[in-house]
Amino acid sequence: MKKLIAGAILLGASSMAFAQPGCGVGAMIWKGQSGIAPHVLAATTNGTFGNQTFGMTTGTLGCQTNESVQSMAMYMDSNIDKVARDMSRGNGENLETLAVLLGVDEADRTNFRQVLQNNFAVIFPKSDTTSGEAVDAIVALLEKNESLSKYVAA
Amino acid sequence: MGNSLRIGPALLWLIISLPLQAQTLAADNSLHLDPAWLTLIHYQPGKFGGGYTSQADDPEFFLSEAGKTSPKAELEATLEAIQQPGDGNNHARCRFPARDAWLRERLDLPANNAKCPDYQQWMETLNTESITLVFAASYLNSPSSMFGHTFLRLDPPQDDEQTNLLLANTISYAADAAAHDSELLFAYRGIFGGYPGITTVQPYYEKIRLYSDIEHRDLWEYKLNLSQHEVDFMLAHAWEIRDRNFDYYFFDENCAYRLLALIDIARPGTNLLGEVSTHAIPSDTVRWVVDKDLVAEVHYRASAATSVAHSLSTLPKPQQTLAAAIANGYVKPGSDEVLALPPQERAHLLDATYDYVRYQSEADSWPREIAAPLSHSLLRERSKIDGIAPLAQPKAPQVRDDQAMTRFA
Repeated sequence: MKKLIAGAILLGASSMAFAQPGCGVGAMIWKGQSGIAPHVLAATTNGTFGNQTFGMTTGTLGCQTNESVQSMAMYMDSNIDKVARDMSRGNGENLETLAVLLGVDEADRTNFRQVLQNNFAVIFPKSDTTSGEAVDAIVALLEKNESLSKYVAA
Repeated sequence: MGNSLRIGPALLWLIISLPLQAQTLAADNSLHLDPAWLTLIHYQPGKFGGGYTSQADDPEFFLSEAGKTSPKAELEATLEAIQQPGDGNNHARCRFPARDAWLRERLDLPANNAKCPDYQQWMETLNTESITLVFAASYLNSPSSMFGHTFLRLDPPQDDEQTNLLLANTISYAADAAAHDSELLFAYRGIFGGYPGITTVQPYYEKIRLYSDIEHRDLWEYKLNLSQHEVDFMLAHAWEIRDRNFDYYFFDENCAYRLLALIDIARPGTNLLGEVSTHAIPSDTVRWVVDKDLVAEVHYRASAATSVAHSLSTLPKPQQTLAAAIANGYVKPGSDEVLALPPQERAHLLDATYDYVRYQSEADSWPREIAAPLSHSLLRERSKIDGIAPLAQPKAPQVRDDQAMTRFA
């Protein structure tokens, strides 16, 4: 029974949609989706940072008007563990995906990867950091960076 | 200059082809039996003698009430509907853009563009340059996945650094199982009928999450050599069947079968469905696609299980022992024993240990109270080591599933 619920939650998480315009908690809605893939039922919950990934309701995120930050937030929400892994290594396709979603130019990519790796402990201060908290921390870090701040400007 | 030179051959072509076109119009009576039309409406010849029946199980897919069993009535109704004045989302031209394009080309009808806002937006969002057939290798623990699974990935143009395949969309055909059905019931009803089958569009990263991370199935990516025109035509038809029901059966009308039909439509004359006798097993269907020279290149994506086995095996022996000690909580990731290692060895040790813990959490349900803090401290330690690239991904196995000698017969 537990497995079935896990499958349902997984689907829910993947089909989350943003309501626009709006701010704060109410700005995120869950959109139900009927097309269930055959093996979701056999799925187990994601292991590491997974269980806390639904808390995308922190203060600033709902008010973020920058569309690329919102896309990054959505991607983080379903891939937080893999983004964290790639970030700790300063390398990997999920980190590249974040750069693509934020529109980071090739020339700034090395800097982008380095800033995120060096600040891993700031972005993920605890083992149950939510994806919303991580996104807020990333935005705050990039805003302080001279060459990267333009990618998160509202 | 260049233009005036080309007018000559074009005129010549017109003169030669005019009688041909007239002939086609005269032979109009048999147009509904053209293989391309039969494929577009998913007709199959009746099992007992003449006649055709469409595999679509949805009245919305037909413009004629007799359409399910009459290719001719459906063609006539389509022809009439697409020539109605006006346009907009509900016009037949917008609901059936592939039929519309095919008929206009065959019958030389004026091909002025219809305004179809929803369809046009859909095509722009998908932004597809090429199609990749993805095969998820079989998953032994699950009765309904014994034969693997296939889906199509819609690859965006690969011309700048802004392209990213994880964000590419995929099209798959799956049984719409009720959430309360068990895995075995799912297999049973899949074999004997009873599930509506639907086409879904999802980003590739969600597929990777399901197949590669949770079910530990390796993915094989077969990039097809379809032209832009063929790709657009396939998507036009995908739009036509997007929310339409085709009943799902595991053995014949399954995920792989529907995708073969899409490829047949993209490149008329391919006739992949002709290869299907009693069952379409995904690994066989991949072989047929390879045999028909449809594949430009093959790429292998190791599952989480394959990757973790690989990264552990590349560690030197003493460090394999150390990795096990860290994973089991005897040694801390930030302890002196670990810090004593040179940066590269330390980075690879932490990477392999993290991958192992992550794998155990999902495959073996390690309790979260243990796995979460351990993963977190492994990643924190790793983030302190700059400039060391992660280990290379495992190489593709020598023999692909479509090349394996053993077959299900």
